Amino acid sequence: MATDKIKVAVRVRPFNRRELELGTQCVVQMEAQQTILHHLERKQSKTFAFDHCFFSLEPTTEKFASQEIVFDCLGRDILDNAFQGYNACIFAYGQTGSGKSYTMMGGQDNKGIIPRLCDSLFDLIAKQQSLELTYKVEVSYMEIYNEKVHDLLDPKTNKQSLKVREHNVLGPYVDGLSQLAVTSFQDIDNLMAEGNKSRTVAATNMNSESSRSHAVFSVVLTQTLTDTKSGVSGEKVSRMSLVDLAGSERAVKTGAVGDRLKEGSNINKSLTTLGLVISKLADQSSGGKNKDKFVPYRDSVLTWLLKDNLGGNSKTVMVATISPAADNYEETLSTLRYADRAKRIVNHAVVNEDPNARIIRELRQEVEALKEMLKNA
Amino acid sequence: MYEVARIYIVVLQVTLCAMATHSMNKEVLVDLQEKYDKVRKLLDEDSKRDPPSEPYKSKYAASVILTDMKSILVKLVEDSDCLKFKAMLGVVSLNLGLVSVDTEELSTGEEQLMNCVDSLCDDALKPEIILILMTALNQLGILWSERGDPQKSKEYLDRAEKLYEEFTAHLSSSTAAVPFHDLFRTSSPEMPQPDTENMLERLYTLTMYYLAQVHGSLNDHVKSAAYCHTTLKRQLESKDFDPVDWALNSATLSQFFMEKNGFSQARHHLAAASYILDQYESDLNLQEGNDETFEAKRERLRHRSADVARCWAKYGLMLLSNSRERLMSEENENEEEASGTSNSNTEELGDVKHLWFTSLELSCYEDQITDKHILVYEDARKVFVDAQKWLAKAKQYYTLDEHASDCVQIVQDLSQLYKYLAFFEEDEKRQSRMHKRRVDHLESVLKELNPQYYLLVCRQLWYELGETYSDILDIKLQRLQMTDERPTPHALWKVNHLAQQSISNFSKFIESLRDASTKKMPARLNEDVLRPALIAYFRVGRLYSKIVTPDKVVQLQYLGKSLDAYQFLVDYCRNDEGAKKYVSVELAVCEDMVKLLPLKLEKLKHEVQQEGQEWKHVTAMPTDMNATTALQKRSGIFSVVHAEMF
Repeated sequence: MATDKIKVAVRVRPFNRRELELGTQCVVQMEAQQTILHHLERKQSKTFAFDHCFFSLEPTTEKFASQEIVFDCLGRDILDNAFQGYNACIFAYGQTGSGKSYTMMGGQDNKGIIPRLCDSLFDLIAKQQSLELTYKVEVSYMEIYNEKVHDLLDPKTNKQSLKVREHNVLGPYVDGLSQLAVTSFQDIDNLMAEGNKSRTVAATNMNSESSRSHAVFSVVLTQTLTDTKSGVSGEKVSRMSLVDLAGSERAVKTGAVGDRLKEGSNINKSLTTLGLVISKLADQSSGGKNKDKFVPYRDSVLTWLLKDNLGGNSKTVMVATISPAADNYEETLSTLRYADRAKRIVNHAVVNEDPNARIIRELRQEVEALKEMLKNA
Repeated sequence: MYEVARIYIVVLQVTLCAMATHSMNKEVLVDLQEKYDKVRKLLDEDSKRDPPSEPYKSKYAASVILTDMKSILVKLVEDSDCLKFKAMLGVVSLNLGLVSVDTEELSTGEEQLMNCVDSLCDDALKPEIILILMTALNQLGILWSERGDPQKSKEYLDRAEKLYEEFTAHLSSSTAAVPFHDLFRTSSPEMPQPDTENMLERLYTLTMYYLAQVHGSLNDHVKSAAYCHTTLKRQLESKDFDPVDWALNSATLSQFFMEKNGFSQARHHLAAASYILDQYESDLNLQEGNDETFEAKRERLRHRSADVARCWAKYGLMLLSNSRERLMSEENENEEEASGTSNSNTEELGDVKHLWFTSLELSCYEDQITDKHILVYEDARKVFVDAQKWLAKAKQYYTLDEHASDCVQIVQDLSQLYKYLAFFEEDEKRQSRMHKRRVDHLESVLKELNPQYYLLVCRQLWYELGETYSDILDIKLQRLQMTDERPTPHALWKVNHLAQQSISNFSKFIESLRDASTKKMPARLNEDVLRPALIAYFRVGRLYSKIVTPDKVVQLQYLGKSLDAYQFLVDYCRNDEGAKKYVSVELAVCEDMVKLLPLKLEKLKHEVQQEGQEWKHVTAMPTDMNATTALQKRSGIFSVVHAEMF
């Protein structure tokens, strides 16, 4: 089903050993599609609603969401979409230690979304390919840091910033991004590991001003259907993007924040965020049509990525991972708020129609005329 | 007498203070200075390099030293009540508070900051004290906003604002605010360090900025915008700003003003943006260089200039659109359909109107376009031409092959410009031509787009094309109705052509909603497309009834299609109760149509059967000129056609 909104899922991880030893309290509760965050001292708890709430706290409970369950809910649709020739995008958001890597990658015995996706992908290809139907899988890996795009699979050009383009026929693409052919998940895993080495070091320094670096791993599937008689072939190209979102680290919250706008009513200390504040001000509509004004994009590269994958037949999913522990309350709250906001991002390409009062009047008259005509018939 | 006494007391205080300072061991002061320098190093430099496992290492170390300094200073203040010691103690409390807040101990931080403020408020307007107090008040503002209490935050920020205003009102050359490190300095005065100069101004700019945010949290967006303006103004005056950012911010703010009918303010902010960009461009041109950084600067300038151009175009559009609404609401004043929502075109900025960058000379930019509502075509045309020029400029940057979505949006704006211009044009022929320009632009961009990637945008274009062709059709029909003469075959052909084109575009829109695999219309339409989709059916139903043909068999077909379209709407609403509220008016009309049209169809079928003998070989749809002309030659047919049309 086509949708113009992001599907948002939240997953809570089990306690780790340290937390168990300390006897840390659990502050996260999940009921159906709701995640409730409790505060140990304050009475009021905060409730959030999401498309999926994955309760992975306790493996023995009935509602435990295993890696397989998570993949079934989120990954299968993405794969189906890809084989139909449409794009998909998974965003992963969560602080270090919240289970983001586990959810996305997992380990040998408990594979995460990406390995399962790739395994299924190659399985399906093996089953479906034939003389007429051939498949090609390529990957690319890039980093968006400070609005600059770097190719992580081509270290030579690592310093240069690549340009992001929206071609009217070819769609959105990154100019000059290398795309490497792969034939198995192992290939993909190796490339990701290599690419990770090239990630901007400054980005991982928690105290740096702008420690916001997003990594985007894309799998491009090309399906070629050839009519053996005529030799004519048709191609379907689809892309699955896996975005590892930065911005949830502790230091970002406490130290100099660079150009990130804080959530809620928190004041942004630095004048570098003036632009974002003004944009937000201009954006909030006075109950009219959105298209009447123009608010220049600030966060252009990521927003471009996001906006392209919304609507039409593209699918976008966000997975936010959180810790159940009481000491991580602030970070968990921050993550839940972020995920909550993501729900409201809609591709603004809605159709506005002109008022049709005149047409209605005209048709009403016609109705009257018809009634008259039939009376006299 | 009182004056003399006052001066005497002050002199005494200063002397006592000086004596106290002098008499005590100079070592204590030097020690304090060294400690302060150490604290500064820890907080300003070392803390940036703290390892992730111990992120607050330097801050805690600084805290220890500060606590030590505090006990020393508390004693000094007790002993001598000297202003300078009070100030130094204030700086220490302030820094303790800042460190606590940074290390997430908000309650302790609050306590320390409050201590600082309370101990200093009696001497608030003294040059030694003002910077400390303002910093503390700003910080308390931040603290309370982090606690989710913007009202309380605003109280502290308001205090800081007032403090600055009072201090600067009594400003004289000898009362320059004393920077912190000067308080601790024991040796002879150094050259004033550049970043401590104007610290007061910088603190006040931050106060303005924080107030802008807090008012936003309190949903007073107009006040928020006013403070944003002030922040921008102060950046200009302090010459401390990045020109491209500044221009972009000013242009973005203009979009807020124009939505509140503050067209003068909007225009002014756009003019300021253009002025700053032009200045920056001249500066860049003087520089030489072909390296990557220089290229990047040029690219950024090009990009953001295009954005400012788009803001200008939106200004023109909004001015036209508002003017149109205003004129229409005056017409409709007595009609029952006047909407409840206030169509007020009075500016909604209240008493915060005076938002001008007084240091800039902007008349040559502002003179290019009006800020008043439009009443006549000539004025509308001027606005049109101006906005069109800005769109052309924006399109140079936002090209179709590199920025497809943006390019389409610009074309859509152009289409809207023509639409509004047509409203002010009285001559129908010229109106048609304007709508035709819309069609040309929209079609030319539509054919370049790959629907796989731009489906949502294609939908918008199909829809708008459907509406535009329909608008032209209505103009033509109206003209034909006015004359008593017979419509020419060409005119009829035109009418049919327009109707068909309109139907075709609405149909493409509808088709795009089908499920990709089942090829069926979804049983439940997404909320975003629900109304447009149902209205598309509604429009198609009506359009089919506008097609002219003397051939009753063909008439029957079109009437059938018309009925099908209305039927879809009725059936959909029957299956989805929730949909009714979106199309309640149209639904009522469709329900009538669905009841009455079948009867008309029956009647027509009857006539067809009767005339079956006479019209054996007319099967071609008379939508091309020759067939229509041929039919015209037979007697009596034309009057039938004429009657059917109206």
